This record gives sequence, structure tokens and C-alpha cells, in this order.
Amino acid sequence: MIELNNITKQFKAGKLVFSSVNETFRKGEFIGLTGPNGSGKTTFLRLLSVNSFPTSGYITYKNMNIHENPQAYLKDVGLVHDQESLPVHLSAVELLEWVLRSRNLWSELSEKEINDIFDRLSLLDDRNEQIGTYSTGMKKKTQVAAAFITRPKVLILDEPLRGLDSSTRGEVEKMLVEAKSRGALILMASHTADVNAEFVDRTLEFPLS
Amino acid sequence: MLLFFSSALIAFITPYLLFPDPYAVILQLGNRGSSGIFRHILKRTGAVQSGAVVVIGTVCFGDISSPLTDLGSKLLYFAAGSFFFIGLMGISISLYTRSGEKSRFWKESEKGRKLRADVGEYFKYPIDPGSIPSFINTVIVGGMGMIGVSVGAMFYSSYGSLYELIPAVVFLIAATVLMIRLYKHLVRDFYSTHAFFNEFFGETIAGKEAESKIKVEQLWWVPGAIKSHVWATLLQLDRKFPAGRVLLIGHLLIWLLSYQRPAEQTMISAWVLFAIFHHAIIIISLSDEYAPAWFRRWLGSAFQWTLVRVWIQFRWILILALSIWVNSLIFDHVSYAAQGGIILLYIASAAIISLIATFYQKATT
Repeated sequence: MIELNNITKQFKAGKLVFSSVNETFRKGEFIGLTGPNGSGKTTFLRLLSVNSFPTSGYITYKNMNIHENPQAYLKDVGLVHDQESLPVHLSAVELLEWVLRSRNLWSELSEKEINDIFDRLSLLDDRNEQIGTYSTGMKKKTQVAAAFITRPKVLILDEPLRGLDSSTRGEVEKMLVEAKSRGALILMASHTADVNAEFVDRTLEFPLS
Repeated sequence: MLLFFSSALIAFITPYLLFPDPYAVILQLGNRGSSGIFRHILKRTGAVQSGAVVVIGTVCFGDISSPLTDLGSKLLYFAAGSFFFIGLMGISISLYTRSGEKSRFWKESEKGRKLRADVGEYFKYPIDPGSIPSFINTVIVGGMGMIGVSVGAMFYSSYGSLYELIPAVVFLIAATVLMIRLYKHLVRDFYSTHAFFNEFFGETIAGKEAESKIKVEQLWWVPGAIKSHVWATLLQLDRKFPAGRVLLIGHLLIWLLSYQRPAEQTMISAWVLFAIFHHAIIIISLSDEYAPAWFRRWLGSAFQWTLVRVWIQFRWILILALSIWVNSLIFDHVSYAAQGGIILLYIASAAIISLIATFYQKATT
């Protein structure tokens, strides 16, 4: 599904993050990314979400270079970014409406689906307030909802459980299992023990050797 | 005429330039004192001030065929224009930076609540009492500037060109005095106003607004591929920036100017300047707060975002065309050909600015 071909990334000459990485990620796989701060997990996920470009090598999705065709690739991707940056003058409900409409996925059921996902994530009355007023955890819930609402084929998640209360973490874990069972490829970074759960198929240990 | 527009621009733009300040957290981390925050404010408004001085300089010294002719008069006009702009901007910065405490009082106190209820009952329209000090500052700064221009013109016609400097120098002195007073309690006033605007713009989406907000289905004039992006951008811009009110003031000013029966060329220049001024909205929409870089990349292509920024400007085109047409019918100022030219220029300049914005965003993210 996604293939990394000789991927090397360095921020400047001599400052190597990883070198000549070759990996294949398949449909329905759950890949955990672990390692200490600064070991390259976020950079790796930023490459996969086209928010960073490789120094050399290329990444393909269904035989298509993702950095040359970002829009065609990203329409199949759900993202939880490393920062909680989101448009601040929209409500969480409006944000999800934007995401669905931009992918031509809006239907008469969409309003209910949006409310259902926020019910699951316990984002209650605040879902109709502007995101600029949210706490870090509420922004994270909004990001998680935006990533899952389109039922993407690929989920790229950078610390999706960070800042969430324990009951919401449990709910997100259930959503991850559901996504995996419908065939989504999941790549999830964490420096906690989250990714050691039984549903992780493979773990990439950072820094990559 | 340029200074007349500048007065309205300064009155409206100052709070949006300064508050809420995205660097407030960094200033707090560095525990900056009055001098640090003062320099920070000057830096944030510096681009507008130096840009204005360059424009004034270009207008005064732009005659490259005879650069030394009337050099004394040109220098005088340059000094008057620059002092006027910098002075009025200084007054505006000082008034807005000190407005936080009063704004919070009206927003949060019982007196403010009563005012909101009374005015809402009387006008059948909800107002936020917290916005009253800002509204008063807008009127004071805009009014001062317009009176300054009129007084300068009166001095010029009665006593000669040198006397046109008087209002500009008065503004500069007033700004200096106000800045010195501001400096004494700058740290407190700056954080107080930052906090107020931060909370004000993160306002609850009140019932009224929730009912009257734009729906995607209303945007029949937008192509399907970019409809959701245009909708979300307009929705956010309307919450952050009262563009409609600013542009209404612009139309009123031009109508005021046309009432004085200037030459056709002057009126065409005024409409052209105003048409391009509309595209300040494109610049405002570039902020990450409307869509962070990763989010833009996730939802659309650079081509789509370029189109979105052009399309959001079509919202004002009918009002602009109508205003020019009716104005010209009444005052007989601008030919139909020129009217068409202004509208075409409006669209072309929106496209050019949007394209430059796309390249700028590509280069900076």
C-alpha cells in the first residue's frame, strides 16, 4: 500500500535523521512508532503526510509518488498532526462539515455522523463553540474526529492519545481497532506504552538503524 | 485624498494589527519590560508605517522627468504626509493599547449587561458592550484624521502651503505625549488589552450568529470544487473581521469625495484605489488561524487555494459595480468604459495578489 524506497532525511548537511530506509506498509496493518523525543518519529510521519520532503529516495502509495501527487494521496489519508493547530474561528462541528464537503462526502446523514463521533469522544456542548476557545485536550479530540470522520484508507497519527482523559483514550483505541478491521493502514507514533497494545502488528523503533 | 483614506484605514486596522498578539506567550516567557514591549509594538506596526511613508514619498517625488522642480514644496508635502500618518498611527496605537481594561469592564460588569439588554431591546439588534471602547476609538481616530485633513486644506488656502504642516505636527506631538503616558504602564495595559481581544475574538457563537451564519447552499456563485473552502473562509473572516463595515465606510468616503465634484481622473483614481483596497481581505485570510499549512495541504491544492482567495472577493463586486454606476449616474463622473475597466482591474488585481500569496505561502511553509 505504502512503500518507502531508500528514504534519507537530513535537516542540514551532516545532520542525518535517518538514512536509506526501505519499508512496506500493507492494508490493514497497524504500525507503532516508538522511541525517545527527537528520535525522528514526527519527521517520519511528516514525510508520510507530505508535510516534509525526503532528502533522497521516494515514497509511493498505490504505485504513485506521494510527494508528486499530494492531493490524490491525501484524500485517502486521515491526519492527527503533531501540533494542535486548527482553524480557530470555526466550531468543531463546522470543521468536520468542511472536511466532509471538501471530499464530496457530505450527505443527509453527515450531521448525525458528526454528532455521533463527538458523542463518542465526549466533546459535548463545546462542539458548537469556536476552536480558539478549546483546551489542548479538546483540540486533540477535534483533530481525532477530523481524521476519522472520512473513514480514511490510511491513518497517520502523531501522539493522538496525548492530552486525552482516560475514558476518551479508551474510546479512541476502540476507533483504532474498528479502522483496522475495515482495512485501514494505521501508523501511530507514541513515546508512551500506548503502541504496545495487542492490536499493534509491528513496531518501528526510533532512531531507525 | 490619500490621507483622508489613511485616516479611516488607521482607525480600523490598528486593533487588528496588534491584538490579540500571537507573540504574547513569547513576550511573557522573556518577561519583557516596557521597553521590550514598546519595541515589539513598533516592529509589528513598522511595516505599515514605513510602507505608508514610501507611498507618500512616491506620490511627492514620483515626477522623475523633473525631480528638482519645486523641491521645497515636494519636501513640505512629504513631511506633512509622513508626520500626519505616523502621528495619527501613534495616537491610534496608544488609544487601542490602553482600551483593554475599559472594554473588559463593559463586557463583564452588571452595567454592561444592562446596557446590552437596553440597546438590544431598543434597536432589536444585539451589541456587545465590550466593543464600545474600540468603536469610540475608531470614531476618535477616524474623525481626528478627517478633521486634520480638512483643517490642513483650510490653512493651505488661507495662509499658504507651510501652514498645512500644522495639523500634522500637532498629531506628531500628541502621539509623542500619548506614547510617553502609555510607556509608564505599558506592560499592564498591553497584557490587559491582549487578554481582552483574545477572549473577545474567541467569543461564544451566540444564538443570533448561529442562526444568521452563511450556509454552504447559499454560495450558488461558487464552483463546487472550492465551495466548501470558500464557505469556511468567509465564515471565519466574518467572525474575525468586520469587512462589510470597513468597506461601507470606504463607499461613504468616496461618495463624500464625489459630492465635491472633482475631475473625472480624480474619481477614477479614487475608485481604483478603493477597488484594490478591497484585497486587504486576501492578505488577512493568509493567516494560519484560518487554516494552518498542514490543514491547507490536507484539504486542497495550491491551485484551489489561489482560486478560493479570488472567489471570496466576488462577494463585494456587485456592490462595488452598483456603487460606481449609481454614483456616476448622479454625479456624471466616470464613463461606462472606465467603470468596466475598474471592475476588470478589481478581478485582475485579486488574481495577481492571490497568486503572489500562493507563492509566498509555498516559500514560507
